[in-house]
Amino acid sequence: MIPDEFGRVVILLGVALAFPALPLLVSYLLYLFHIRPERPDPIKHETYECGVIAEGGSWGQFNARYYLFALGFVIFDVEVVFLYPWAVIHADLAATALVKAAIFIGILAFGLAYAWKRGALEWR
Amino acid sequence: MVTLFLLLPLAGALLALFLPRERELDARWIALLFSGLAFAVSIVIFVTFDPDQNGYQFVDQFTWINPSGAGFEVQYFVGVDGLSAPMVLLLGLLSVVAVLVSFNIDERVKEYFAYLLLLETAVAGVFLSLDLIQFFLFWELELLPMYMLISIWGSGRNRYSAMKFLIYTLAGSAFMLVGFLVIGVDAGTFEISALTEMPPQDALIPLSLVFWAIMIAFLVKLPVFPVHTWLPDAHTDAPTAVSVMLAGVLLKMGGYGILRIALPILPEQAHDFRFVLAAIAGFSVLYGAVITLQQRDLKRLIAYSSVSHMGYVLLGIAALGAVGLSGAALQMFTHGTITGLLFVMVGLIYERTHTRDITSMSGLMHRMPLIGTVMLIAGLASLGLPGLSGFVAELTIFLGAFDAHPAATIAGIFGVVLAAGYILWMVQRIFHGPADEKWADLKDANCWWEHVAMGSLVVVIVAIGIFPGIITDSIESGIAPIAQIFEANL
Amino acid sequence: MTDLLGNDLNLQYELLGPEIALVITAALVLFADAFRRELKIGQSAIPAISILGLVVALLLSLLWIDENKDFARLVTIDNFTTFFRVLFIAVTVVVIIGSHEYIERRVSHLGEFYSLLLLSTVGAMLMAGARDLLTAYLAIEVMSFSLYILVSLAKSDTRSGEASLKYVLLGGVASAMLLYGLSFLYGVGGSTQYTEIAAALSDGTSTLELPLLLGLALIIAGLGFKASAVPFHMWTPDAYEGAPIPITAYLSATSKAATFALLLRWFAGPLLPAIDSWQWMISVLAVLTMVIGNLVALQQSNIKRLLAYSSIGQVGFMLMAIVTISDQTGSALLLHLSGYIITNLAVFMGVIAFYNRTGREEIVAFRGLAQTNPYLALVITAGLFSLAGMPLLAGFLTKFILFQSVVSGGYTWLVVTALLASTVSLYYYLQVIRQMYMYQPEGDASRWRLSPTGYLATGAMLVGVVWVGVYAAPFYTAADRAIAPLFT
Repeated sequence: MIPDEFGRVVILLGVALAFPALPLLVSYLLYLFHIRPERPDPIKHETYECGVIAEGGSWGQFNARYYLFALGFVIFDVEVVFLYPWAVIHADLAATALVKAAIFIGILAFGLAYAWKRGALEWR
Repeated sequence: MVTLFLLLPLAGALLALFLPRERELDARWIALLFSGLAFAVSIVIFVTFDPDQNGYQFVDQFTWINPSGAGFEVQYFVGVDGLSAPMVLLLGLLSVVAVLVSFNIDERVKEYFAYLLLLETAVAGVFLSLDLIQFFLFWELELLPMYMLISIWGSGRNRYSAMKFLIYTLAGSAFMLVGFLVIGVDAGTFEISALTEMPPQDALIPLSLVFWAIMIAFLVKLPVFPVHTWLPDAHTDAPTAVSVMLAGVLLKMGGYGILRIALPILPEQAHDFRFVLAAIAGFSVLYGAVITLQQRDLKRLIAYSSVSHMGYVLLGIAALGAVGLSGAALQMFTHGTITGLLFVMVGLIYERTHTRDITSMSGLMHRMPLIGTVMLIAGLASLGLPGLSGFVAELTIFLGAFDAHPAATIAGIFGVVLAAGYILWMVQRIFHGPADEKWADLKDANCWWEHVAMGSLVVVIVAIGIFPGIITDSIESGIAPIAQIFEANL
Repeated sequence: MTDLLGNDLNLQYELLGPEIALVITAALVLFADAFRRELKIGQSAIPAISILGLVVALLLSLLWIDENKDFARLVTIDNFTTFFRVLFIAVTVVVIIGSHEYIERRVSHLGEFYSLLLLSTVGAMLMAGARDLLTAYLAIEVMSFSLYILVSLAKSDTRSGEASLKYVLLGGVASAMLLYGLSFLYGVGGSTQYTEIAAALSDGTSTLELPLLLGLALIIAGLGFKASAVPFHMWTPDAYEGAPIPITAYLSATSKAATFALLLRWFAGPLLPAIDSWQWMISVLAVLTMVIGNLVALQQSNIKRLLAYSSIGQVGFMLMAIVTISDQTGSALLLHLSGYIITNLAVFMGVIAFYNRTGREEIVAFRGLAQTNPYLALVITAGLFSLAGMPLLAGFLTKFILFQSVVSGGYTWLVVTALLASTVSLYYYLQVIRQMYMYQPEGDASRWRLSPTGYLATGAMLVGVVWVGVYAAPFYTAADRAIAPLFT
């Protein structure tokens, strides 16, 4: 006997599978019954069909510094994620919440200072 | 007192190690002093030991490991009874002999004597332990100095032989530890006397398996066919003193273990398998003797003769009666002195001729009459000539074993005939016959330490041959409680 | 304060004192190293700060002896946690003292090295203390991520980067499996709290046999990787060989002990009701591990690889205690773990001192060490003999008590296998000892000495090896008290 929670998971799984499959199926059916024409051309077969032709192979390497900047960006990302809900209700919280938030910002600031000192923010 | 015997050689070993480099040769004197002191202590123990008193004497005991939740404890528990008193004496004597015959060692002297003394402590621990785990601990401890002694100071394929010795013994002792653990977990104690009073009735695995797990370690050490192959190699490649210790006391650990642990703790199983043991014993005696006949290497010859002679020990044990067991214990003592002496002599001969090939030696009696004579005495004792110690022991074993195992005993008696063959052949080839020119400048035994080593062992061999009571009084008092178990219950 | 489900939460931050102290120290170390020139401090100040922080953490963890509290239903502070906190802190202290010379000369990024070492210690401590699946998982990752980086920090050694990459990739797969297994366990137990999973599994209402079995298999595979149990051990020799030697020592001590702390918490706690489902898995794993680990060790020619396989073999012995889990085997396991760690550190501290002098790590390089430095040869020999389980050394006593407890647990055949494997192990330990004692030194045969800290670290470990071997009473008393909270 599968409990209720798992039933919902199965439903979700079904919907998730159907969502991309359905348009493809509809498109194929339309073609099958000659409702839509079939006119292939190279641009339609591009990976990203957005009008701009992709350049280079998909295995090209990125400069490692991009990752360093991405990591630095994550610091602020995380900061926002945690501080936004705090800011919304901080008026209702006790004074210690302010201290805790300050510690949190302090840790992030420390991380930034360290990265700065180590030269992670310079593009060399 | 007993603890003193245990610690004296250890103290000597530590002292020898810390000698300054330039006074390295003094390690010999330290070793002689401490093994001599230990020998003196062993004499005191043996003489003041009272055979009429039951139980252990000179007991030292305290709790060593006692984890609260585990429900068992391991003790430091040493003492002497009639069985171990002669063994302690033998060990004390042979250790002094071993130190004496190593006086001309010139390579890494400090370490050599430290290992030799450590070996004495380890073997003493085996003979004195009255707790299974403590017994096992010393049993393992003995491996380290032996391994080092054979592989550093040995000759020929010494590293191979040392490793072979180690692997055989370790594989055996792994099973032994399992056996001990099963018994100990079941009974909640590792004390031998307590286990003897209440033999385990039922354990995690069948008791017959436990019996064999324990026996395998002892049989390897004894050694008997088919687990004997480490012995000739180890003997051949070991330095003289180590051969003396190996043949003289280390092999006795096997027989002693059977008498001290396997029989009293698992008497029913021993009784069930007595025919198997007798068959192994009889076959070992014959097999060892036949192989000995074919040896041309002097050390291998004596090594294989040990396989044959230790078969008698197992034969006496398999009889499971007072006479047979006493014979086995006596044989252990006498074989220790006789084979010890034989190896001393082989060492002396090898030092002079630099060969152990029997066929290449001839007429040595002219060059070294003293060595020749002593070798002859040792050989005659080994083949069981009445008036020397070997005879008493073998006769007692045959008397004890004949009723229980006639076939194996007859095989054993036939082994004595073969022994006469190989011993006399060996003595005849080496010492008699035409004097070979190439041995013209050999000298007889001329150092005091050689004289003392030979003389002391000859005295003991002759003395026991004439007055066996010196040793047998003690042995009988030690064997009586074991024999009682079998007479009372089975 | 309450959580979303309305449970009262205990937010005594001082319960996490040691962890907080170590995190602050790690930050200070990073800061001090980054601004070393501005602050005008020497290189040796970095290890000094680390040791200071560790000592403070040690004192803070001793405050909670015989307490039994939890922090926000996430971390338990009981004797078990305290035992492992003290153990891990001690290991880190020894590693730092014994190897700071090595680290100064052969490790790049000094500040990062020490601070990651401290952070991985925090992870290990939380692994021992966690009482919630997710906290435990995060603790594992804190420790593992620090170690991934630490493995790669050997200066001018290409094997180091390769080792780190292998470790990261395989470690990532293992973490994924573990997490997937934990999700099954959550599905079956309905909670991430150990206590509630235990209750759900033992009241028999759960009928989810298959998911439970799947989850257990995944969890065992994931933790088997962390503990380097065969067949999940492939990364171990490479990581051990490529890592800086102090990190090899640390991997073989803390990372292993932390995994076993977790195994004990899980298999004596939430997973105990399902013992019939996992007992056979672990026993198979134990046999494979001790047999294969010890056999493959026979062929090694590099001391670090040899010790890697030997440590795999040792894991097999320790897994036996999980198979027959009870307060008795648990206490024996804790004792064996401490003995094993002391022994292993003795060997590694010796190897580090040797490497500082010679820069070599092949076994043949140890030729004649007994003549050029008898003290060091003695330390390494004592350690190796102890690993092999020779009497009067730590290894014999702890193995003996461990085997004894497994026999009383009814698994005699496991102990027979273990003893035979143990016999094999002596053979390869002897290969090293032979080189030291039976051969003449190659080239320079003059005597040499260790540095003062080298003497301190090796000497302390040597004393420890003999002490545990001869008088272990304080250790098993501690182990008994540490295991008690798990079985009440």
